[in-house]
Parts: sequence; C-alpha cells; structure tokens
Amino acid sequence: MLTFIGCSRKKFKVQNDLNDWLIDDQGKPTLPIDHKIFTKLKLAMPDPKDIPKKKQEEKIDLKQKEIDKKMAGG
Amino acid sequence: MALSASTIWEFNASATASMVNGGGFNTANANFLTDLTTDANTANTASPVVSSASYNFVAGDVGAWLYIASGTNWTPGFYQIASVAANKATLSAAIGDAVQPNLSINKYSPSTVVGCATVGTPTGGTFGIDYSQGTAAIVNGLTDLTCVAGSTTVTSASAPFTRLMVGNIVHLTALTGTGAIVGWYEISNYTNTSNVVLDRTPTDGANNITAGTFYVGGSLSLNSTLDDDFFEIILARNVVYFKSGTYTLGEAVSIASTVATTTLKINLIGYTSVRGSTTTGSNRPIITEGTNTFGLGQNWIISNLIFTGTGTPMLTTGTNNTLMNCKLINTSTTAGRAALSSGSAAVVFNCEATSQNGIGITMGAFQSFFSGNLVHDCDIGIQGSSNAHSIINCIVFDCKTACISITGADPRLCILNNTLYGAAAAPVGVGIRSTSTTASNLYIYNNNIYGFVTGISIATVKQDSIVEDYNNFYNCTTDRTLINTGLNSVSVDPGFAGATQITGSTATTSGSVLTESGGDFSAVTDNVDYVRVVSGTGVTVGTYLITSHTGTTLTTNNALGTSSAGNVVYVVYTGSNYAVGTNLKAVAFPGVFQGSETTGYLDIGAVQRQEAASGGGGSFTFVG
Repeated sequence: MLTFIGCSRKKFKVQNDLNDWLIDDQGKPTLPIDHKIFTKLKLAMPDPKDIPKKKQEEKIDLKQKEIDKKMAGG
Repeated sequence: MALSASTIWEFNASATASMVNGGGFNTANANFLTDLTTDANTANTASPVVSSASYNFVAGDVGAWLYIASGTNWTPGFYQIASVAANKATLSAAIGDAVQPNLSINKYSPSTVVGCATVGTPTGGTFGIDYSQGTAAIVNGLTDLTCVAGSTTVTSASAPFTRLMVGNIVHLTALTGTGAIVGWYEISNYTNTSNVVLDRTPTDGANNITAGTFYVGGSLSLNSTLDDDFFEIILARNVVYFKSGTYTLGEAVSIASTVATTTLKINLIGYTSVRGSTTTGSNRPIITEGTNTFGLGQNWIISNLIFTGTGTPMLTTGTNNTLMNCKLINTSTTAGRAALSSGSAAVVFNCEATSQNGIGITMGAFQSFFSGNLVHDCDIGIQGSSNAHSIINCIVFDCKTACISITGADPRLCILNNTLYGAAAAPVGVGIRSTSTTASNLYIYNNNIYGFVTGISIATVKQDSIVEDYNNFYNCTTDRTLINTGLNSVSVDPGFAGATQITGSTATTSGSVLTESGGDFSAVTDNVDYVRVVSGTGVTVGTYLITSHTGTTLTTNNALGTSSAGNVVYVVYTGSNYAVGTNLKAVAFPGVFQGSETTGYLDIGAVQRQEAASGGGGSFTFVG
C-alpha cells in the first residue's frame, strides 16, 4: 500500500498577462502559480476573468495589482 | 515558546520524500545532557570514544552527528558517529571530518584541528545528537501521537523517545483533533520514553489531539506542497543547508515573512561533503523549479546553489539579499522571463545568470551592487529602471538585444570595468542602452565594449550627467549615440585570448536538432554552450542550450521548429576567455591618483591581463 503525503499533480500555462496560471482539465486558468502569497498577504485572489483577452507586451504584476487595489480601498 | 533562531535545517536529495522529516536541530537547546566524557586520551585524536552516564549510545546512532555545545576543553561542533560499541560512540574527528562554528552565527566549516577537545580526556561536556542529517527520520512516521489540549507534552504509546532527541525537530504531519496544528516543532525537553515536551502546543488550546503522525529527525526533501510552508517558518539567524544533489521545487514559494533583519539574516547554503566545504561548479546543489517561482524574503544570504527553471521570474530575492557563487538558468521559451529578479539593496557577486529568451538579471528598485558576475546567452543581460546601482567587473556576452539596459529616468548608475561582448563576425544588439528620453546620472567608465550594432545607445539628448570615458569600443557598427566621446576612450583591438564563435547560414532544423552539413561542432561543450538562431524559414528564432552534439548536428533543450530550406542562420559561442592583450594594458581610469605619487595600471574591462614573470621577455610565462 502506498501513502502519498503532500504530493501534487498540477498543470500550468502562461496566459495573456504573461503569468503562469494553474489550469483545470479543460485548460482553463484557475489560480496564479504563486497563489499562496495572496492568501498570506490577505490580498484578493486574482480572478481568471481579469486576464486580458489579448496577449500583453509586458507581464502584469498580479501581486502589485492587488496591493494597489487594496490600498485604494478596492 | 517557538522555534529557535539557532535552528539549523538540512536538505538532502536522498531524503524521504514529500518533506515529511523533521529536518532541523537547535544548537542552543537548554536541556542537552552535560556529562559527556571520553575514553582516556582519545578526545584529541582522530577517533575519540565518547560516553555518557545518562545515555547508552546505540547502533541506530551511527551516522548521526554528535553535537558538542560546550564544556571545559571541549571543541564545539558536529562530529559524525562512526561506530557504536558497548554503549560508547566513536567519532570521526580527523581534520576536515568535523564541522565547527567559525562565526558567532550558525555557520560552520570543516575542522582544522584533529579531535573534539584540546585535551586527551575531558569531562562534563554538554552535548546532543543531531538526527537531521540522515536521509530517514529516527522516528519514522509513527501514528500514535496524542496531546492534551493546551499542553506542550506529546505522548506516544510506542515509547520511541530518547533523551538525546532533545533539540531535534519533529514534524507533525497529520493530526486528529479539532484545530490541531500540523507543522515543525522542536523537542525542547525529554520526560520519558513515551513523553517529550515541544517548544509550543500543537493543539488549539481547547481540543485534544487523539492521534497523530510524526517524524523525528531526518533531512528535508523539497518536491511537496509543503515547500512554501517550510520556507515561511524559517526564522532570523536560521541556516538552511543543502547537501550536493538535485532537488525539485514542488510548488511556487513566495515568502511573506519579514522576520530576518539586516543583522540577523537567513542563510541558504549549498555544500558538498561536509558543511562549509568548498562548493563550486557542478558540485553545487541544484534546485530545479520547473515553472514554479522561488520568491525569498528580505535579508537572506544565498550561496553555492544552482537554480534552473522557466518561471517568471525564476528566482526573486527580497530587499537586502546577498547572492553569491550561484548559477541561475531560465530555459523558458516565453520571452521576457528573468533568471533573477533582484531586490533592492542587494549584493550579487560571483554569480552566473542566463535566460535564453529573457533577462539574466533584473535589478531592484535601488542601491544594489553587482560585481564579478557572468551573464550570457540572454535577450537582455542586466536590466533595471531605478536608482543608485553599481555594475562592476562583470562579463556579459551574447545578449541579442542588449547587454545592459537601463529604462529609468534617474538611474544614478555606475557601470565600471565590465567586459561586454556582442559578436565577432556580425555585430549584434547594444552594449549599454538607456531607453528613457529624460534619463540622467549615468556613469560609464573602463568598459570593454566589443561587437555591437551600437556600443552605447542613449535616448536622452546629450547631458553632462551621462558620461562615458576610458572605455574601449571595437568592432561596433556605431560606437555611441547621443553621448559625448570620452576624452580617454579608445578604439583598439582588445586581443581577447579565446572569444570564439561558430557561425553558419545554411543549416536545417527538425524538432530539437540543427544540422549543418559540412559543419564542425567539435569545439562545442554540451550543457554549457548555447546556439542563437538568428533567422531562417520555419525556425523559431531564439537562444537554445546545446544538450548534445555531433560533428554536424546540435541537439537543443527546446524545440527549434522545422526548417528544411537550408537557410537557418545561427551562432554558437564556444570560447569565453575574455583576457585581453597588450592594447588595453594600463589605459584604464584612474591612472594617476590625484594628490599622490600613485599610478594605477588597470586594464580596461572586467578582466586584467596576466603578466609575464619578472625578467620575462619574448613569449609569456604566466605567473602562478
């Protein structure tokens, strides 16, 4: 009998915001790859719906975006 | 109580998987035994025989490390237990076998004196046993841990505990009890074989723990969804050792903790045989991140490690971090990813960075010092926007767009004594560029700038505070734009000792293989050299690590695409010896020091010449 502790089998894909997101079995983004930091810093979790429809020229800093939103009372 | 600042953590590539082990030992535990002694006249030999009236050493202790904390005539440090007989332990204490503290912090280095004491038969030694450096836990996954609500005493009916487990970290991985807190705890004291005291309660204060899985000792593994949790608990002054081997990061790590300070830092240190041993080249432990990002907190010192991955960025360091003797390789096919995103007030020296389609090093917001680094085979070597950095004595070569790229309006940047190399046959990219049209405060001295379309490209209209001087420009299509020529800058052949490329324009590609019929790739070194694909029908332009080769083929780490037209243009950098010839000898700043009788005879660039031995003439005899 095998016991697995703390393993993971995850899929990733770079999105139009040039960040890597975890994707579900249908290939849809669910969480940023470093999602734990948002919980640790009590920031809102980035929403896949906010990923731009068009590929960006520069990577969007998701953490800074949520920090800015929080500071602005958003 | 809590975990201790004096805890030392250990990673081993062969450790039990999934981060289950305890992985740490507190050298400052207050409850070590105090009655260590040795057989007569063995303590100052290579094989001391130690014993204690309070503890009988057992066979299971072999391989663990005896920690001597203090005691008259004892030499503090870690000594591996080589054998056990008749309740006594024989230690490995030859020169280089033990590790002893060389600073007032937790860092250790191989011993330089034989023995574990300065006399032959010391007594009254304070000691413990560090079980964290073995690959398996000394108590390995028992499941009968219980704890009364609010208590720090944990109980196991299996009676697995010994008094020498004090100071070791126990990992509680699975607990049954409302509000129970899994995690890493220190065994701070011993009650009996069934009961030990932890540094804090694992309960929520209100509910009992009725069952629990636990591991005492054993090193850590990475490759788990607990990776981030572990790095988050590390305290100021903790040291985390990685033994040579290959590790896999199991998830993105991003540290929120700000516990480390400018005087009490956190150390991540790679080593080979014993802690503090010289660790260079491929001997360094390798952390393979895959797509995961590794984001460290503030006030960390990271040394002797190799990081590989494709993340964006791959490694992020916090404010006041120091990175030394590290290699960072980002192999992503996605453009713009950095190997290292450095925090502010950082020191990065003696490191190597490459990001095949991105940026080698992204500088932080302010006041960082980059020196003695090798950055190569990137799109942009070193990039930053902001203030008061220094880039000194670095070699940056084969960067398609720019070796150094400054994007901010007020960089206050010193770029001194660097060697920047584009290409020999066909100049490529820019050596140093400033892209802001309102930039100021940029000082460029003593750089060897070779083989670029533009050596220095400034976007601001000429300003007094953007200065270049004592630089050498050679084999550039245009030496400089929008910057006055330095009075002492030169244009001479640097005479590099061994900067060579293989170029071609008629290759084909299929999958990850580039074929040049009639080519000669014999000078290529696998997993060191890169091929930059410049153009070609159907091929994906970019930089690729060469993983294997034949005389006429190169196999790369990423797919090249299929191109059968026979028009793929490429370049391979096979030689990177940027030592210079006599043309640049002693022409660098400062020359004569003002107000003194001293003349500095520096050569331009990062690399100084090796001179002939005294009295030499004709052919060179290199000193040393």
